[in-house]
Amino acid sequence: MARTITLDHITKIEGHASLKVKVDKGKVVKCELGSTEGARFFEGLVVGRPYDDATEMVMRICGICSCGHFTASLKALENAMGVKVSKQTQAMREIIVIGERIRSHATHLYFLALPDYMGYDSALAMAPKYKKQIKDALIMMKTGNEIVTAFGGRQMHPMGGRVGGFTHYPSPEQIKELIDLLRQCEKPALDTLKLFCTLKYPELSVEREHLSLLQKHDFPLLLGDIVSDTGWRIKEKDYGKYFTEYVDRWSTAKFVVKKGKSFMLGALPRLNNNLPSLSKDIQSILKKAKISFPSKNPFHNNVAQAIELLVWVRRGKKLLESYTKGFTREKITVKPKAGTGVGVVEVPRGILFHTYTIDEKGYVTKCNIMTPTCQNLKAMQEDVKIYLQQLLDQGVKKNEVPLEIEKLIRSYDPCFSCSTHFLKVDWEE
Amino acid sequence: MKTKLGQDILCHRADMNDHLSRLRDKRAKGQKLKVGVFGITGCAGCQLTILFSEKFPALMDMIDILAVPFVKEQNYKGHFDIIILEGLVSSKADKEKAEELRARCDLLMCIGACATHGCVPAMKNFMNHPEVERAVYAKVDYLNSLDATPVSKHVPVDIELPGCPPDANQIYAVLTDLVLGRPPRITHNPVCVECVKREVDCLLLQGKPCLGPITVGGCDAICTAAGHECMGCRGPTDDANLPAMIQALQDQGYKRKDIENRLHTYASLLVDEQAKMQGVKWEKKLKRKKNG
Repeated sequence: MARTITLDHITKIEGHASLKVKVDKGKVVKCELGSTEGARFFEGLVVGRPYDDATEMVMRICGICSCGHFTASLKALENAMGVKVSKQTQAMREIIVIGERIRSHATHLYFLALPDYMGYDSALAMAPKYKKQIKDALIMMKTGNEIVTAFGGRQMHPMGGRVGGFTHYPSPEQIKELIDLLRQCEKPALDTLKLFCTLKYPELSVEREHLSLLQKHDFPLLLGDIVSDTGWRIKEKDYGKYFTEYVDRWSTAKFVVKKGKSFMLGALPRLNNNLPSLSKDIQSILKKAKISFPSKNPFHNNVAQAIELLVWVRRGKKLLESYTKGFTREKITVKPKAGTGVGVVEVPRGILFHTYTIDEKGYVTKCNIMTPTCQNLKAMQEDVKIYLQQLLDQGVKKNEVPLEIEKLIRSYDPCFSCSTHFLKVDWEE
Repeated sequence: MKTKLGQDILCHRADMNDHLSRLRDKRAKGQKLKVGVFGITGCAGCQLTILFSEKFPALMDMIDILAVPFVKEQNYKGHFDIIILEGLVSSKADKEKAEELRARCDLLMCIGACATHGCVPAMKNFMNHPEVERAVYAKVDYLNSLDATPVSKHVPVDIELPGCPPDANQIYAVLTDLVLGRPPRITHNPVCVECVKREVDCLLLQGKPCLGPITVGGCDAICTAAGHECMGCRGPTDDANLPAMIQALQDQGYKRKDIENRLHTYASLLVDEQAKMQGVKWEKKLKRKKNG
């Protein structure tokens, strides 16, 4: 492969982040948040490969959202080649993504976020005292996992689907089992929402654009225009035009800005932009808890995720119930065609953007991917600065600051949330 | 010291029996094994595989998981009986972390294709990556990017469980063996054996580019059972017959270029080594670039 490859940008991040702040006379003068994960160059690696290989390879970007990368790349490749998929294929993709969303949110809420608010080091340490809560988390994670496995053939990096459709169909018995599992999840999901409504979130309000997909009467998943809470609205294919990527020396993850400004993606923007689709019972729970949406407090992303958890458990069940007789095996016929296509989907952490250019034989000639964490990075960095200043002004003790900052970063559920558990605040005074 | 996949690797380590007898002693005294789960550059999928596994609560009962930075704030700083490591070495920081972790455990167990074979990111070794990096960043010095390589290229590894992602049942089975102080059972059969066991219709015979015949099993043939050809994510078996595999796929009408790319997706470095030994000449110019 001795070829010169031009990469538009580097691939995505998950593991390790660091933060550097500088405080001068009680004022935060410098704040650098970034990823220190090794570079992996996925977009360069798929060039020259047949389109189906590209999907298989880009899924490896992320273990938590592999189904997200799977659906985004399929959508982009299908748009590039003008392939239309059946209603059934679309439904199957939705279910697999719902499965992933349930396990991702449950993992984040219980294993990454909750211990901070309960004063524990980890969910493992919470287990003896909070048996029910951990059991709830595990049943939801298991359910999500079973859904992904039933439709994707394996629990991570699904192999059951490709451009044009699926190669693997769950049996009616499997579907029945999944419906049963989802039924068992309803109470835990409801309890999760109630639990996260009782947690005490720090006060923080940041004026910033919230972006998400828009879907009528329901929460967005794979379809819809891109909207912001300021009323801005564009079509999926135009997504790339509005955003610029830049690099800062402290991070191997690129920063993404919209007309020079930061923006937020994720469960909170999805909720803020799709409030009318919220069911009555959820509205009354929120009312009782005195949490009102739309909210500009990034800590409320946790509540938004808990709401989504319940929404997805219910929607997943409903979707599966319309296929209790099983799925019809469909023949996949795809003719390679030259073109460029964009695929925008909602993944647990926000909008995921894929675009590919395909040549007439079906080989990838260009690929660009923007993950939600890169797009949220600038917002996170700015929020850390604002929140840190707020903490300093309130006279919060220096040794309490790191946990507070970590809580903020984790509330975004970034793909390097794991690494922020390592977070070392490097004070320069 | 490099352990090879697909062999009864533990028998080849001179000190393995000592390790196992120490593990048996611990068990006799009723002590749990101290285990840490760490990750370097990767997708966190391997660690999630453990977390999502139904066996996870059982695992917690069986061993003491003292460090998992992925889900734990306070992590044990001392010496472990076993460290489970995910991810590949692609930067200076990764290398240092791998060396540090090696020094802090008796048995180092690498899980997942990144750690065992370099997985997809290792393909960058076959591109001119200083140029690639320069195209992405104005200044590359702070990236500290190295060749993307499996952990065993840098430190001795005791056990390797491949796969993208690795198989949760296999991880559990191997840990059970270690708790009991017996040599872990790691299969070195190709995926085909498991396909036959599960009575999956041969995908190769259906004309699909399946790499099952040359790929290490242990995955219970999940992909082929789902109707998707094996992509070789667990790396080639020691006795993989590359020329025959390539010929078989060419006979099915696949282009040589695509076959070569496919063979290089998950275990590019090992496949390249084997190809050299078997006299396979790549038609594509897959020349390994040396970077510092």
